[in-house]
Amino acid sequence: MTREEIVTTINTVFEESFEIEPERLVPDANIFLDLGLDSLDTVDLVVAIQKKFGVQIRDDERVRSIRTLGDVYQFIEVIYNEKKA
Amino acid sequence: MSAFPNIHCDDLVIGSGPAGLTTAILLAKSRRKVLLVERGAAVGGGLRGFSRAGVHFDTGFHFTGSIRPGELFPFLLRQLAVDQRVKLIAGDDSCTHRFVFSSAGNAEIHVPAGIEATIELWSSYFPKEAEAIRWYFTTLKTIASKTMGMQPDEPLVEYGRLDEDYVSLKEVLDTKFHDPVLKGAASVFAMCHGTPPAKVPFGVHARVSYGLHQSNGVVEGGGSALADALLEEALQCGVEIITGCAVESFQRLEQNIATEATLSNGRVVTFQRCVMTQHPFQILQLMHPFKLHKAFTERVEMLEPTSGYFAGFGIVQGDAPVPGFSHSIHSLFPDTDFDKMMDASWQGDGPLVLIEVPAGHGSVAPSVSALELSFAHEVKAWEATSLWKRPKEYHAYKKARLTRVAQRLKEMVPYSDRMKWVDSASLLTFRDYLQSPEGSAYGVMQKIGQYGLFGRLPIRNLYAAGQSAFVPGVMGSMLSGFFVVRQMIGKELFDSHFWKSGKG
Repeated sequence: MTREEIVTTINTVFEESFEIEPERLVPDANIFLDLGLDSLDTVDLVVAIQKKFGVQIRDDERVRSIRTLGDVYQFIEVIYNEKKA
Repeated sequence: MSAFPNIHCDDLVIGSGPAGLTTAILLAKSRRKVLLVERGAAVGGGLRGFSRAGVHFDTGFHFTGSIRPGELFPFLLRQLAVDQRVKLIAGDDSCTHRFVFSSAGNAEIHVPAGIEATIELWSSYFPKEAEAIRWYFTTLKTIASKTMGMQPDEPLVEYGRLDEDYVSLKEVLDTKFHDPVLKGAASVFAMCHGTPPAKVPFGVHARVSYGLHQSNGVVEGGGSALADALLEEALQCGVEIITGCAVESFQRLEQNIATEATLSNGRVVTFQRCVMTQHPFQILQLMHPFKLHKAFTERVEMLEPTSGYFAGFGIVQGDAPVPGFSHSIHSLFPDTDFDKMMDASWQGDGPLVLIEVPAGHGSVAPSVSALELSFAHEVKAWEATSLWKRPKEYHAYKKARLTRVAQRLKEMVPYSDRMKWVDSASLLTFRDYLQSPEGSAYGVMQKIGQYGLFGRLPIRNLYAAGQSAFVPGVMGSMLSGFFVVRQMIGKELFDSHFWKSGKG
Protein backbone atom coordinates (compact mmCIF):
# COMPACT_ATOMS: atom_id res chain seq x y z
CA MET A 1 0.00 0.00 0.00
CA THR A 2 1.47 3.34 -1.01
CA ARG A 3 1.49 6.38 1.22
CA GLU A 4 -1.18 7.89 -1.02
CA GLU A 5 -3.46 4.87 -0.63
CA ILE A 6 -2.98 4.98 3.12
CA VAL A 7 -3.92 8.66 3.20
CA THR A 8 -7.01 8.06 1.09
CA THR A 9 -8.13 5.10 3.18
CA ILE A 10 -7.67 6.93 6.47
CA ASN A 11 -9.52 9.95 5.11
CA THR A 12 -12.36 7.60 4.18
CA VAL A 13 -12.50 6.38 7.80
CA PHE A 14 -12.79 9.97 9.05
CA GLU A 15 -15.44 10.80 6.44
CA GLU A 16 -17.52 7.66 6.84
CA SER A 17 -17.15 6.84 10.49
CA PHE A 18 -16.86 10.32 12.02
CA GLU A 19 -18.78 12.29 9.39
CA ILE A 20 -16.07 14.87 8.87
CA GLU A 21 -16.15 16.89 5.64
CA PRO A 22 -13.34 15.94 3.22
CA GLU A 23 -12.07 19.54 2.93
CA ARG A 24 -11.19 19.53 6.63
CA LEU A 25 -9.01 16.47 6.25
CA VAL A 26 -5.59 18.06 5.88
CA PRO A 27 -2.41 16.61 7.37
CA ASP A 28 -1.99 19.51 9.80
CA ALA A 29 -5.49 19.16 11.22
CA ASN A 30 -5.39 18.35 14.93
CA ILE A 31 -7.77 15.43 15.35
CA PHE A 32 -8.95 16.73 18.73
CA LEU A 33 -8.96 20.53 18.32
CA ASP A 34 -9.79 20.76 14.61
CA LEU A 35 -11.70 17.55 13.89
CA GLY A 36 -13.58 17.43 17.18
CA LEU A 37 -12.64 13.96 18.43
CA ASP A 38 -11.96 13.52 22.11
CA SER A 39 -9.73 11.09 23.90
CA LEU A 40 -12.56 8.58 24.30
CA ASP A 41 -13.16 8.59 20.53
CA THR A 42 -9.67 7.29 19.89
CA VAL A 43 -10.83 3.78 20.79
CA ASP A 44 -13.45 4.00 18.03
CA LEU A 45 -10.80 5.34 15.66
CA VAL A 46 -8.44 2.48 16.49
CA VAL A 47 -11.16 -0.14 15.95
CA ALA A 48 -12.29 1.45 12.66
CA ILE A 49 -8.72 1.63 11.32
CA GLN A 50 -7.97 -1.94 12.43
CA LYS A 51 -10.96 -3.12 10.46
CA LYS A 52 -10.19 -1.05 7.37
CA PHE A 53 -6.52 -2.06 7.16
CA GLY A 54 -6.74 -5.56 8.64
CA VAL A 55 -4.03 -4.70 11.15
CA GLN A 56 -3.83 -4.93 14.90
CA ILE A 57 -3.06 -1.73 16.73
CA ARG A 58 -1.65 -1.79 20.22
CA ASP A 59 -2.82 0.72 22.71
CA ASP A 60 0.68 2.04 23.37
CA GLU A 61 2.61 5.30 23.53
CA ARG A 62 2.58 5.64 19.76
CA VAL A 63 -1.21 5.83 19.73
CA ARG A 64 -1.31 8.19 22.67
CA SER A 65 1.15 10.60 21.07
CA ILE A 66 -1.02 11.06 17.95
CA ARG A 67 -2.23 14.65 17.56
CA THR A 68 -2.62 15.47 13.88
CA LEU A 69 -4.05 13.63 10.92
CA GLY A 70 -0.49 13.54 9.56
CA ASP A 71 0.51 11.63 12.72
CA VAL A 72 -2.21 9.08 11.93
CA TYR A 73 -0.91 8.61 8.35
CA GLN A 74 2.62 8.22 9.63
CA PHE A 75 1.59 5.78 12.35
CA ILE A 76 -0.42 3.54 10.04
CA GLU A 77 2.36 3.50 7.46
CA VAL A 78 4.70 2.16 10.14
CA ILE A 79 2.15 -0.38 11.43
CA TYR A 80 1.36 -1.53 7.93
CA ASN A 81 5.02 -2.04 7.06
CA GLU A 82 5.61 -3.85 10.36
CA LYS A 83 2.82 -6.23 9.45
CA LYS A 84 4.32 -6.91 6.03
CA ALA A 85 7.78 -7.50 7.47
CA MET B 1 -47.78 12.91 30.54
CA SER B 2 -47.31 10.86 33.66
CA ALA B 3 -49.76 11.31 36.51
CA PHE B 4 -46.89 10.94 38.96
CA PRO B 5 -44.21 13.50 39.68
CA ASN B 6 -40.73 13.00 38.25
CA ILE B 7 -38.21 11.08 40.29
CA HIS B 8 -34.99 12.98 40.89
CA CYS B 9 -31.66 11.36 41.57
CA ASP B 10 -27.99 12.18 41.18
CA ASP B 11 -27.05 8.87 39.65
CA LEU B 12 -29.26 6.39 37.84
CA VAL B 13 -27.98 2.81 37.74
CA ILE B 14 -29.58 0.40 35.27
CA GLY B 15 -29.45 -3.30 36.11
CA SER B 16 -29.07 -4.87 39.54
CA GLY B 17 -26.67 -7.71 38.84
CA PRO B 18 -23.28 -7.73 40.57
CA ALA B 19 -22.03 -4.73 38.55
CA GLY B 20 -25.14 -2.62 39.15
CA LEU B 21 -25.32 -3.39 42.87
CA THR B 22 -21.60 -2.69 43.33
CA THR B 23 -21.91 0.59 41.45
CA ALA B 24 -25.03 1.67 43.35
CA ILE B 25 -23.53 0.89 46.75
CA LEU B 26 -20.27 2.73 46.06
CA LEU B 27 -22.03 5.79 44.62
CA ALA B 28 -24.41 5.91 47.58
CA LYS B 29 -21.44 5.65 49.94
CA SER B 30 -20.03 8.68 48.08
CA ARG B 31 -23.13 10.57 49.23
CA ARG B 32 -24.81 10.49 45.85
CA LYS B 33 -28.56 10.04 45.66
CA VAL B 34 -28.85 6.78 43.71
CA LEU B 35 -31.77 5.16 41.92
CA LEU B 36 -31.31 1.53 40.88
CA VAL B 37 -33.70 0.24 38.22
CA GLU B 38 -34.07 -3.50 37.61
CA ARG B 39 -36.12 -4.95 34.79
CA GLY B 40 -36.55 -8.33 36.48
CA ALA B 41 -38.87 -9.05 39.36
CA ALA B 42 -36.13 -9.23 41.99
CA VAL B 43 -32.86 -7.45 42.67
CA GLY B 44 -29.83 -9.52 41.75
CA GLY B 45 -30.02 -10.14 38.00
CA GLY B 46 -28.05 -13.26 37.16
CA LEU B 47 -27.28 -13.86 40.82
CA ARG B 48 -30.84 -15.00 41.48
CA GLY B 49 -31.75 -18.63 41.10
CA PHE B 50 -34.98 -20.46 41.78
CA SER B 51 -36.35 -23.16 44.09
CA ARG B 52 -37.98 -26.51 43.32
CA ALA B 53 -39.10 -29.08 45.87
CA GLY B 54 -37.38 -27.26 48.71
CA VAL B 55 -34.05 -26.99 46.95
CA HIS B 56 -32.36 -23.79 45.75
CA PHE B 57 -30.75 -23.81 42.32
CA ASP B 58 -28.42 -21.16 40.99
CA THR B 59 -28.74 -20.11 37.37
CA GLY B 60 -25.98 -17.56 36.85
CA PHE B 61 -23.56 -17.81 39.74
CA HIS B 62 -22.41 -21.36 40.31
CA PHE B 63 -18.94 -20.91 41.75
CA THR B 64 -16.16 -18.39 41.93
CA GLY B 65 -12.40 -18.42 42.19
CA SER B 66 -10.18 -16.41 44.57
CA ILE B 67 -12.42 -17.25 47.50
CA ARG B 68 -9.96 -17.93 50.32
CA PRO B 69 -8.98 -15.33 52.93
CA GLY B 70 -6.51 -12.85 51.47
CA GLU B 71 -7.74 -13.47 47.93
CA LEU B 72 -9.75 -11.13 45.71
CA PHE B 73 -13.38 -12.13 46.29
CA PRO B 74 -13.45 -11.68 50.10
CA PHE B 75 -11.47 -8.45 49.61
CA LEU B 76 -14.13 -7.03 47.25
CA LEU B 77 -16.90 -8.06 49.63
CA ARG B 78 -15.12 -6.24 52.44
CA GLN B 79 -14.82 -3.06 50.37
CA LEU B 80 -18.59 -3.19 49.92
CA ALA B 81 -19.10 -3.89 53.64
CA VAL B 82 -21.00 -7.11 52.93
CA ASP B 83 -18.29 -9.50 54.11
CA GLN B 84 -20.04 -10.04 57.44
CA ARG B 85 -23.33 -10.82 55.72
CA VAL B 86 -22.18 -13.77 53.63
CA LYS B 87 -20.29 -16.93 54.37
CA LEU B 88 -17.84 -18.21 51.79
CA ILE B 89 -17.40 -21.95 51.44
CA ALA B 90 -14.26 -23.23 49.74
CA GLY B 91 -14.57 -26.42 47.68
CA ASP B 92 -12.42 -29.50 48.07
CA ASP B 93 -8.92 -28.03 47.87
CA SER B 94 -7.41 -31.30 46.67
CA CYS B 95 -9.72 -31.29 43.64
CA THR B 96 -11.77 -28.19 42.90
CA HIS B 97 -12.41 -29.30 39.33
CA ARG B 98 -12.21 -32.69 37.69
CA PHE B 99 -11.87 -32.76 33.89
CA VAL B 100 -12.54 -35.92 31.88
CA PHE B 101 -11.57 -35.98 28.19
CA SER B 102 -13.52 -38.80 26.61
CA SER B 103 -11.77 -38.50 23.22
CA ALA B 104 -8.47 -39.17 24.97
CA GLY B 105 -9.42 -42.49 26.57
CA ASN B 106 -11.20 -40.68 29.41
CA ALA B 107 -7.98 -38.97 30.48
CA GLU B 108 -8.68 -37.40 33.84
CA ILE B 109 -7.14 -34.13 35.02
CA HIS B 110 -7.69 -32.71 38.48
CA VAL B 111 -7.36 -29.09 39.48
CA PRO B 112 -6.27 -28.63 43.08
CA ALA B 113 -6.54 -25.24 44.76
CA GLY B 114 -3.39 -23.18 44.46
CA ILE B 115 -0.98 -22.39 41.66
CA GLU B 116 1.93 -24.33 43.17
CA ALA B 117 -0.20 -27.40 43.88
CA THR B 118 -1.46 -27.33 40.29
CA ILE B 119 2.03 -27.01 38.84
CA GLU B 120 3.07 -30.01 40.91
CA LEU B 121 0.10 -32.20 40.02
CA TRP B 122 0.00 -31.33 36.32
CA SER B 123 3.76 -31.87 36.07
CA SER B 124 3.19 -35.38 37.40
CA TYR B 125 0.62 -35.94 34.62
CA PHE B 126 2.91 -34.52 31.93
CA PRO B 127 6.49 -34.88 33.25
CA LYS B 128 8.07 -33.96 29.92
CA GLU B 129 6.25 -30.64 29.93
CA ALA B 130 6.96 -29.69 33.53
CA GLU B 131 8.96 -26.63 32.58
CA ALA B 132 6.28 -25.28 30.26
CA ILE B 133 3.61 -25.96 32.91
CA ARG B 134 5.56 -23.90 35.42
CA TRP B 135 5.96 -21.11 32.86
CA TYR B 136 2.21 -21.16 32.10
CA PHE B 137 1.00 -20.86 35.67
CA THR B 138 3.68 -18.36 36.65
CA THR B 139 2.59 -16.24 33.69
CA LEU B 140 -1.06 -16.38 34.78
CA LYS B 141 0.06 -15.00 38.11
CA THR B 142 2.21 -12.30 36.49
CA ILE B 143 -0.69 -11.19 34.29
CA ALA B 144 -3.01 -10.98 37.29
CA SER B 145 -0.37 -8.96 39.16
CA LYS B 146 -0.27 -6.48 36.25
CA THR B 147 -4.05 -6.08 36.04
CA MET B 148 -5.61 -3.18 37.89
CA GLY B 149 -7.65 -4.32 40.85
CA MET B 150 -6.51 -7.93 40.89
CA GLN B 151 -4.15 -7.47 43.83
CA PRO B 152 -6.19 -7.41 47.03
CA ASP B 153 -4.79 -5.24 49.79
CA GLU B 154 -2.51 -3.38 47.37
CA PRO B 155 -3.00 0.20 46.17
CA LEU B 156 -4.60 0.44 42.72
CA VAL B 157 -2.16 0.80 39.85
CA GLU B 158 -3.36 1.48 36.32
CA TYR B 159 -1.90 -0.87 33.77
CA GLY B 160 -2.85 -0.61 30.10
CA ARG B 161 -3.29 -3.61 27.91
CA LEU B 162 -0.41 -6.06 28.25
CA ASP B 163 1.57 -7.83 25.53
CA GLU B 164 -0.45 -10.91 26.46
CA ASP B 165 -3.62 -9.09 25.39
CA TYR B 166 -2.43 -9.14 21.77
CA VAL B 167 -1.72 -12.86 21.47
CA SER B 168 -4.37 -15.59 21.51
CA LEU B 169 -4.55 -18.35 24.07
CA LYS B 170 -4.26 -20.85 21.22
CA GLU B 171 -0.98 -19.33 19.99
CA VAL B 172 0.44 -19.56 23.50
CA LEU B 173 -0.69 -23.15 24.08
CA ASP B 174 0.51 -24.31 20.64
CA THR B 175 3.91 -22.76 21.24
CA LYS B 176 4.41 -24.00 24.78
CA PHE B 177 2.58 -27.32 25.11
CA HIS B 178 2.62 -30.52 23.08
CA ASP B 179 0.12 -32.97 24.59
CA PRO B 180 -3.41 -32.21 23.33
CA VAL B 181 -4.84 -33.18 26.74
CA LEU B 182 -2.63 -30.60 28.42
CA LYS B 183 -3.68 -27.97 25.87
CA GLY B 184 -7.29 -28.94 26.50
CA ALA B 185 -6.92 -28.79 30.28
CA ALA B 186 -5.37 -25.31 30.08
CA SER B 187 -8.27 -24.22 27.83
CA VAL B 188 -11.13 -25.51 30.00
CA PHE B 189 -11.72 -22.25 31.82
CA ALA B 190 -12.58 -20.67 28.45
CA MET B 191 -15.96 -22.12 29.43
CA CYS B 192 -15.92 -19.55 32.23
CA HIS B 193 -15.47 -16.55 29.92
CA GLY B 194 -17.10 -17.83 26.75
CA THR B 195 -14.48 -16.95 24.12
CA PRO B 196 -12.73 -19.82 22.29
CA PRO B 197 -8.91 -20.17 22.57
CA ALA B 198 -8.12 -18.94 19.04
CA LYS B 199 -10.09 -15.73 19.61
CA VAL B 200 -9.49 -14.88 23.24
CA PRO B 201 -6.45 -12.84 24.22
CA PHE B 202 -4.20 -14.84 26.52
CA GLY B 203 -4.47 -11.94 28.98
CA VAL B 204 -8.26 -12.29 29.30
CA HIS B 205 -8.04 -16.06 29.73
CA ALA B 206 -5.33 -15.59 32.34
CA ARG B 207 -7.37 -13.11 34.39
CA VAL B 208 -10.31 -15.53 34.57
CA SER B 209 -8.23 -18.70 35.01
CA TYR B 210 -5.89 -17.32 37.65
CA GLY B 211 -8.64 -16.90 40.22
CA LEU B 212 -10.08 -20.33 39.47
CA HIS B 213 -6.65 -21.89 39.92
CA GLN B 214 -6.12 -20.06 43.20
CA SER B 215 -9.18 -21.58 44.85
CA ASN B 216 -12.80 -22.34 44.17
CA GLY B 217 -15.96 -22.10 46.16
CA VAL B 218 -19.42 -20.71 46.64
CA VAL B 219 -21.37 -18.30 48.77
CA GLU B 220 -23.41 -20.20 51.34
CA GLY B 221 -26.98 -20.11 50.08
CA GLY B 222 -25.82 -19.45 46.51
CA GLY B 223 -26.10 -16.36 44.35
CA SER B 224 -29.34 -15.35 46.04
CA ALA B 225 -27.55 -15.03 49.37
CA LEU B 226 -24.98 -12.75 47.75
CA ALA B 227 -27.74 -10.72 46.08
CA ASP B 228 -29.55 -10.40 49.42
CA ALA B 229 -26.40 -9.21 51.16
CA LEU B 230 -25.68 -6.61 48.49
CA LEU B 231 -29.32 -5.52 48.46
CA GLU B 232 -29.34 -5.07 52.22
CA GLU B 233 -26.21 -2.94 52.06
CA ALA B 234 -27.61 -0.91 49.17
CA LEU B 235 -30.78 -0.15 51.10
CA GLN B 236 -28.79 0.71 54.19
CA CYS B 237 -26.74 3.19 52.14
CA GLY B 238 -29.96 4.81 50.96
CA VAL B 239 -30.12 3.45 47.40
CA GLU B 240 -33.66 3.70 46.06
CA ILE B 241 -34.69 0.65 44.08
CA ILE B 242 -37.39 0.01 41.51
CA THR B 243 -37.85 -3.56 40.26
CA GLY B 244 -40.00 -5.00 37.49
CA CYS B 245 -39.33 -1.89 35.48
CA ALA B 246 -37.02 -1.05 32.59
CA VAL B 247 -35.56 2.20 31.35
CA GLU B 248 -37.30 2.58 28.01
CA SER B 249 -35.70 5.70 26.62
CA PHE B 250 -33.65 8.80 27.32
CA GLN B 251 -34.91 12.28 26.64
CA ARG B 252 -33.91 15.92 26.87
CA LEU B 253 -30.72 15.70 24.99
CA GLU B 254 -28.83 18.87 25.71
CA GLN B 255 -25.50 19.08 23.93
CA ASN B 256 -25.26 15.32 23.83
CA ILE B 257 -26.07 14.94 27.48
CA ALA B 258 -28.95 12.81 28.71
CA THR B 259 -30.81 14.18 31.70
CA GLU B 260 -34.11 12.33 31.68
CA ALA B 261 -35.17 8.73 31.33
CA THR B 262 -38.64 7.28 30.92
CA LEU B 263 -39.35 4.03 32.71
CA SER B 264 -41.63 1.29 31.44
CA ASN B 265 -44.13 2.18 34.19
CA GLY B 266 -44.44 5.66 32.71
CA ARG B 267 -42.47 7.46 35.41
CA VAL B 268 -39.82 9.95 34.39
CA VAL B 269 -36.44 10.01 36.13
CA THR B 270 -34.16 13.02 36.03
CA PHE B 271 -30.50 12.39 36.71
CA GLN B 272 -27.03 13.84 36.40
CA ARG B 273 -25.25 10.66 35.44
CA CYS B 274 -26.32 7.17 34.48
CA VAL B 275 -24.46 3.84 34.66
CA MET B 276 -25.73 1.10 32.38
CA THR B 277 -24.80 -2.47 33.27
CA GLN B 278 -26.84 -4.36 30.71
CA HIS B 279 -25.65 -6.20 27.65
CA PRO B 280 -23.75 -3.86 25.25
CA PHE B 281 -26.44 -4.34 22.58
CA GLN B 282 -29.10 -3.10 25.01
CA ILE B 283 -26.90 -0.14 25.90
CA LEU B 284 -26.51 0.74 22.23
CA GLN B 285 -30.26 0.48 21.76
CA LEU B 286 -30.90 2.96 24.58
CA MET B 287 -28.41 5.36 23.03
CA HIS B 288 -30.36 5.30 19.78
CA PRO B 289 -31.85 8.82 20.10
CA PHE B 290 -28.40 10.40 20.27
CA LYS B 291 -26.25 11.37 17.38
CA LEU B 292 -23.43 8.86 17.58
CA HIS B 293 -20.38 8.43 15.39
CA LYS B 294 -20.77 5.53 13.02
CA ALA B 295 -17.38 4.39 14.33
CA PHE B 296 -18.95 3.89 17.77
CA THR B 297 -22.06 2.03 16.63
CA GLU B 298 -19.96 -0.17 14.37
CA ARG B 299 -17.62 -0.96 17.23
CA VAL B 300 -20.54 -2.20 19.31
CA GLU B 301 -22.24 -4.02 16.44
CA MET B 302 -19.00 -5.90 15.82
CA LEU B 303 -19.29 -7.53 19.24
CA GLU B 304 -20.42 -11.14 19.20
CA PRO B 305 -22.53 -12.81 21.89
CA THR B 306 -20.94 -15.75 23.68
CA SER B 307 -22.53 -19.16 23.66
CA GLY B 308 -24.62 -20.20 26.64
CA TYR B 309 -25.75 -23.34 28.38
CA PHE B 310 -28.53 -25.85 28.37
CA ALA B 311 -29.10 -26.59 32.05
CA GLY B 312 -30.59 -29.55 33.88
CA PHE B 313 -31.44 -29.18 37.54
CA GLY B 314 -31.61 -32.32 39.66
CA ILE B 315 -32.02 -33.53 43.21
CA VAL B 316 -30.13 -36.52 44.59
CA GLN B 317 -32.72 -38.71 46.26
CA GLY B 318 -32.43 -41.09 49.19
CA ASP B 319 -31.18 -40.84 52.74
CA ALA B 320 -27.87 -42.58 52.26
CA PRO B 321 -24.91 -40.21 52.12
CA VAL B 322 -23.53 -39.53 48.65
CA PRO B 323 -19.86 -40.52 48.63
CA GLY B 324 -17.47 -37.76 47.60
CA PHE B 325 -20.24 -35.23 47.10
CA SER B 326 -19.09 -31.80 48.22
CA HIS B 327 -19.14 -28.68 46.08
CA SER B 328 -17.22 -30.57 43.42
CA ILE B 329 -17.30 -29.66 39.77
CA HIS B 330 -16.99 -32.45 37.21
CA SER B 331 -16.61 -31.72 33.52
CA LEU B 332 -16.86 -34.09 30.59
CA PHE B 333 -15.27 -33.06 27.31
CA PRO B 334 -15.84 -35.02 24.11
CA ASP B 335 -12.71 -33.47 22.57
CA THR B 336 -9.57 -31.66 23.67
CA ASP B 337 -9.97 -28.87 21.10
CA PHE B 338 -12.07 -26.07 22.59
CA ASP B 339 -12.04 -24.07 19.37
CA LYS B 340 -14.01 -26.89 17.82
CA MET B 341 -16.33 -27.53 20.77
CA MET B 342 -17.03 -23.84 21.38
CA ASP B 343 -17.95 -23.23 17.76
CA ALA B 344 -21.59 -23.22 16.72
CA SER B 345 -20.79 -25.75 13.97
CA TRP B 346 -19.83 -28.42 16.56
CA GLN B 347 -21.98 -31.47 15.91
CA GLY B 348 -21.36 -33.87 18.79
CA ASP B 349 -22.33 -33.73 22.44
CA GLY B 350 -21.19 -30.46 23.97
CA PRO B 351 -18.85 -29.95 26.89
CA LEU B 352 -20.81 -30.84 30.02
CA VAL B 353 -20.21 -29.42 33.49
CA LEU B 354 -21.79 -30.89 36.60
CA ILE B 355 -21.89 -28.77 39.73
CA GLU B 356 -22.65 -30.45 43.05
CA VAL B 357 -24.34 -28.55 45.86
CA PRO B 358 -24.72 -30.36 49.21
CA ALA B 359 -27.93 -30.10 51.23
CA GLY B 360 -28.28 -27.40 53.85
CA HIS B 361 -28.45 -23.61 53.77
CA GLY B 362 -32.15 -23.75 52.99
CA SER B 363 -32.00 -26.74 50.65
CA VAL B 364 -33.48 -30.01 51.93
CA ALA B 365 -31.49 -32.33 49.62
CA PRO B 366 -28.20 -32.43 47.77
CA SER B 367 -28.59 -31.16 44.23
CA VAL B 368 -26.75 -30.80 40.96
CA SER B 369 -26.81 -28.39 38.07
CA ALA B 370 -25.69 -29.87 34.77
CA LEU B 371 -24.61 -27.29 32.22
CA GLU B 372 -24.07 -28.29 28.60
CA LEU B 373 -22.66 -25.76 26.15
CA SER B 374 -25.38 -24.56 23.80
CA PHE B 375 -25.66 -22.23 20.81
CA ALA B 376 -28.34 -19.83 19.64
CA HIS B 377 -29.10 -21.79 16.45
CA GLU B 378 -30.25 -24.78 18.51
CA VAL B 379 -33.33 -22.90 19.72
CA LYS B 380 -33.68 -20.53 16.80
CA ALA B 381 -36.97 -22.10 15.71
CA TRP B 382 -38.62 -20.83 18.89
CA GLU B 383 -36.80 -17.53 19.43
CA ALA B 384 -39.95 -15.51 18.73
CA THR B 385 -41.91 -17.35 21.42
CA SER B 386 -42.13 -16.17 25.00
CA LEU B 387 -42.10 -17.88 28.39
CA TRP B 388 -45.06 -20.18 29.07
CA LYS B 389 -46.20 -19.90 25.45
CA ARG B 390 -43.80 -22.21 23.70
CA PRO B 391 -44.99 -25.02 21.39
CA LYS B 392 -44.78 -28.70 22.21
CA GLU B 393 -41.84 -29.19 19.83
CA TYR B 394 -39.81 -26.91 22.09
CA HIS B 395 -40.73 -28.93 25.16
CA ALA B 396 -39.86 -32.11 23.30
CA TYR B 397 -36.43 -30.61 22.49
CA LYS B 398 -35.84 -29.80 26.15
CA LYS B 399 -36.96 -33.22 27.29
CA ALA B 400 -34.79 -35.06 24.78
CA ARG B 401 -31.78 -32.93 25.62
CA LEU B 402 -32.22 -33.46 29.35
CA THR B 403 -32.50 -37.22 28.79
CA ARG B 404 -29.24 -37.16 26.88
CA VAL B 405 -27.54 -35.07 29.58
CA ALA B 406 -28.75 -37.52 32.25
CA GLN B 407 -27.39 -40.41 30.20
CA ARG B 408 -23.99 -38.75 29.82
CA LEU B 409 -23.79 -38.17 33.57
CA LYS B 410 -23.76 -41.93 34.11
CA GLU B 411 -20.20 -41.87 32.77
CA MET B 412 -19.23 -39.13 35.18
CA VAL B 413 -20.61 -39.75 38.67
CA PRO B 414 -21.59 -42.82 40.71
CA TYR B 415 -24.92 -41.49 41.99
CA SER B 416 -26.65 -40.91 38.64
CA ASP B 417 -29.30 -43.56 39.38
CA ARG B 418 -30.42 -41.50 42.40
CA MET B 419 -30.99 -38.35 40.35
CA LYS B 420 -34.41 -36.84 40.00
CA TRP B 421 -34.46 -34.09 37.40
CA VAL B 422 -36.81 -31.33 38.48
CA ASP B 423 -36.32 -28.71 35.77
CA SER B 424 -34.32 -27.67 32.77
CA ALA B 425 -33.47 -24.43 31.02
CA SER B 426 -32.65 -23.71 27.40
CA LEU B 427 -30.88 -20.64 26.03
CA LEU B 428 -34.32 -19.09 25.64
CA THR B 429 -35.07 -19.67 29.33
CA PHE B 430 -31.82 -17.89 30.21
CA ARG B 431 -32.61 -15.14 27.73
CA ASP B 432 -36.02 -14.50 29.22
CA TYR B 433 -35.17 -14.84 32.91
CA LEU B 434 -31.71 -13.28 32.92
CA GLN B 435 -32.41 -10.57 30.30
CA SER B 436 -29.46 -11.70 28.21
CA PRO B 437 -29.80 -11.39 24.42
CA GLU B 438 -29.61 -14.87 22.85
CA GLY B 439 -29.20 -16.36 26.34
CA SER B 440 -25.42 -15.83 26.09
CA ALA B 441 -23.77 -16.73 29.37
CA TYR B 442 -21.06 -14.06 29.40
CA GLY B 443 -22.47 -11.19 27.39
CA VAL B 444 -20.13 -10.68 24.47
CA MET B 445 -16.94 -12.44 23.53
CA GLN B 446 -13.73 -10.68 24.41
CA LYS B 447 -11.68 -11.05 21.28
CA ILE B 448 -8.24 -9.83 20.31
CA GLY B 449 -8.30 -6.26 18.98
CA GLN B 450 -11.78 -5.66 20.32
CA TYR B 451 -12.88 -2.96 22.72
CA GLY B 452 -16.09 -3.43 24.69
CA LEU B 453 -18.09 -0.73 26.43
CA PHE B 454 -16.44 0.28 29.66
CA GLY B 455 -16.64 3.53 31.56
CA ARG B 456 -17.61 6.82 29.98
CA LEU B 457 -19.55 6.60 26.73
CA PRO B 458 -19.80 9.07 23.83
CA ILE B 459 -22.77 10.61 25.60
CA ARG B 460 -20.59 11.96 28.32
CA ASN B 461 -22.82 11.53 31.35
CA LEU B 462 -23.53 7.91 30.47
CA TYR B 463 -21.24 5.10 31.62
CA ALA B 464 -21.05 1.37 30.98
CA ALA B 465 -20.11 -1.44 33.37
CA GLY B 466 -20.85 -5.15 33.60
CA GLN B 467 -19.22 -8.43 32.66
CA SER B 468 -18.69 -7.43 29.04
CA ALA B 469 -16.77 -4.35 30.19
CA PHE B 470 -13.73 -5.72 31.98
CA VAL B 471 -13.50 -9.39 32.89
CA PRO B 472 -16.44 -11.84 32.53
CA GLY B 473 -18.03 -13.41 35.57
CA VAL B 474 -19.24 -12.16 38.93
CA MET B 475 -15.91 -10.85 40.20
CA GLY B 476 -15.11 -9.14 36.91
CA SER B 477 -18.56 -7.52 36.94
CA MET B 478 -18.00 -6.27 40.47
CA LEU B 479 -14.57 -4.92 39.54
CA SER B 480 -16.08 -3.07 36.57
CA GLY B 481 -18.43 -1.38 39.03
CA PHE B 482 -15.51 -0.31 41.23
CA PHE B 483 -13.64 1.18 38.27
CA VAL B 484 -16.61 3.03 36.82
CA VAL B 485 -17.23 4.66 40.19
CA ARG B 486 -13.54 5.54 40.35
CA GLN B 487 -13.87 7.29 37.00
CA MET B 488 -17.01 9.09 38.17
CA ILE B 489 -15.87 10.33 41.57
CA GLY B 490 -12.17 10.74 40.84
CA LYS B 491 -9.19 8.58 41.64
CA GLU B 492 -8.07 10.29 44.82
CA LEU B 493 -11.44 10.23 46.52
CA PHE B 494 -12.04 6.65 45.41
CA ASP B 495 -8.67 5.31 46.48
CA SER B 496 -8.90 6.90 49.90
CA HIS B 497 -12.49 5.72 50.51
CA PHE B 498 -12.99 2.42 48.78
CA TRP B 499 -9.83 0.51 48.20
CA LYS B 500 -8.67 -0.12 51.71
CA SER B 501 -6.00 -2.53 52.64
CA GLY B 502 -6.83 -4.87 55.47
CA LYS B 503 -3.17 -4.74 56.42
CA GLY B 504 -3.02 -1.08 57.40
